[in-house]
Amino acid sequence: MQASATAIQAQNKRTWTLLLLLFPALLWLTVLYLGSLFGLLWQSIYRLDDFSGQVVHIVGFHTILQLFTGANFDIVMRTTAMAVAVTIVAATLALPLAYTMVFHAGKRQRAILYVAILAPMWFSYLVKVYGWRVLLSREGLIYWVLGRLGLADSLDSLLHSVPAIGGASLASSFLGMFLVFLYMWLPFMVLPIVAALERVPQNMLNASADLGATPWQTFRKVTLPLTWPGIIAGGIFTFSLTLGDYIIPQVVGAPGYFIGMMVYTQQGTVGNLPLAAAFSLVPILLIMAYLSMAKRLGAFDAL
Amino acid sequence: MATAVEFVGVEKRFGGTVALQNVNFSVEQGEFFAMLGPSGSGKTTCLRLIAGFDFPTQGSIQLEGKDISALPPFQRPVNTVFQDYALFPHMSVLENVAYGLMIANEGKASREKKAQELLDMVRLGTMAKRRPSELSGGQRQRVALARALAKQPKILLLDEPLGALDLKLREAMQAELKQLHKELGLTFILVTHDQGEALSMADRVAVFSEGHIEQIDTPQALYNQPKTAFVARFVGSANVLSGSLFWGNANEIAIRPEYIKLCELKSGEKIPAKHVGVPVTIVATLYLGAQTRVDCVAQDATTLSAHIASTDPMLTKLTSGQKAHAYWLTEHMVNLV
Repeated sequence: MQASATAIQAQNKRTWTLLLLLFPALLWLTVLYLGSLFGLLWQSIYRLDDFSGQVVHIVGFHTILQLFTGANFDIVMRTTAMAVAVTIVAATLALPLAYTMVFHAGKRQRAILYVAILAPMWFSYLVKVYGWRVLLSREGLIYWVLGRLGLADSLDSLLHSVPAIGGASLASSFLGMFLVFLYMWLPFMVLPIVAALERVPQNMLNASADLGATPWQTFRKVTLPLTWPGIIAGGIFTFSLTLGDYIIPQVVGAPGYFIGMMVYTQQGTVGNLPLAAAFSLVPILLIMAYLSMAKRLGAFDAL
Repeated sequence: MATAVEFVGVEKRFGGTVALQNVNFSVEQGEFFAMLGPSGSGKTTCLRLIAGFDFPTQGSIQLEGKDISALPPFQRPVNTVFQDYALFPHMSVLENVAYGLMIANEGKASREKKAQELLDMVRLGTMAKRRPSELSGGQRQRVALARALAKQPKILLLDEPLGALDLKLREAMQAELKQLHKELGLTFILVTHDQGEALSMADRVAVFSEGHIEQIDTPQALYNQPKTAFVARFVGSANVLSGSLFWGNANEIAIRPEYIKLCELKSGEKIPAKHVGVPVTIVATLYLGAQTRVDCVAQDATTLSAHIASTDPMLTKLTSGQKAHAYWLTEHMVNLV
């Protein structure tokens, strides 16, 4: 009896110690993070009175339904299309790079590649964005090189004729914006894929070759399926970072709002907090849709 | 009998380190051949050279008379059971077994039927739909075996296949593998560091040490006529003594612990005819169950271990520090090279 009471006391003490250790993190996660997120999203079921400019605290879906109308819906589609394009191209570029780093590069080469990928992340975000604007402008390096090659005119005619990517010049086109997004988020795609490839045991690749698979067959049937979780993880970064960014579309690219800019202006300049909240709901829902789709396609089968 | 695989003057270097030097041997078709040695002795390198995961620096490897030294693994008609099984985690057990056939473009229905038959053979027929992660170690081992047999290889390579299993399971699998070898009539090449495993399963055993082969022989010959001190010590346990204890030359001799007898010699008594012996001092006795190991030390500081039946009344007299005489039949003594 005495012994079991002591055991219960010890158990209680452990529980309290655990709670004490977890308290700051729990406070942060539940109250500050989830609490304020919920508080923000809650705003989206209110609406703005068009005459008074005041928030009307009546529960309804009026504001959320506004997302599906005219210009608002364009913004959602434009941002989503950009995020999808950036994610797909980033994955396509990152996979061979990561594969080379893990399976072909020597120790030294691998270190150099790591630095090359990580170094841009040490510099200021704004400096990089404005730097790209200079690069992409008509007086910039890219036009200069293309001009020397005699290709500047064909780039311009491409930009003028294709509406989805086009614009007045590279610096004010969706193609230019896409290049900046791609540059900014590529490391976030490369690193998870490298981590996933490093976890593929060499013996698994040997086993596949042993059973008659050529290197390409091994890549398709074994390496790639085992790497999907890494690609999906990288995609979460590139997808959500593109959905939420409000600086790049402002500095580079064709006119036209993105979700992030919309949230920024609606809650700041316009003071339409319900609509800003409704817009910030979109990336959350899209990420959830992205993850459930990835799961359905079997991306997490190897986990 | 035809030759299944032959090593001709094979050398393998990794950078500056020599993993194998001048290795020559051949394995007959249908033979159960074991490569035995401590870790780093080169036995696994040999297996990897046959599978094609590594390529020899010098010399050639021939499969049924054809030089395969430069062929990549996917062009070699051999299959491997890996030490850690290397099952594909994103595929079901059935898909794992059918993998080789799928790569060979065999139709889905036909390859799954074959895979199911193999799973039935290794008594995992009901587990076909499961993932490897849902199986126990022993079950995974059998899936790996079924997968390696699916393409009917000319040679089955087994890389420490039982190393990760517990003792009881390992003993059961040894018997099962041997039975399977008999039924299939395939050439099996087994890599192991466990001498018991090699002796109990193989028709012939190659003992590796530091990148070369010390001896290739049947298990009985390895045990009874070891050629070198290394083999004598590594296969079973053996006492290796300098010949100078008995006669002039310093050649080493080996004697198994179970052949050593101990007695107290009174002055004037002699050890029996056809025996040789040395005076020793008892160091320790260790009770092992049916037998008791008696450790003693000879004049020249050589240690000797004797296995005495635990029922022997002599044992009660053998206490540490006691003087005694160790002796054995001359014919049980093996001259080493």
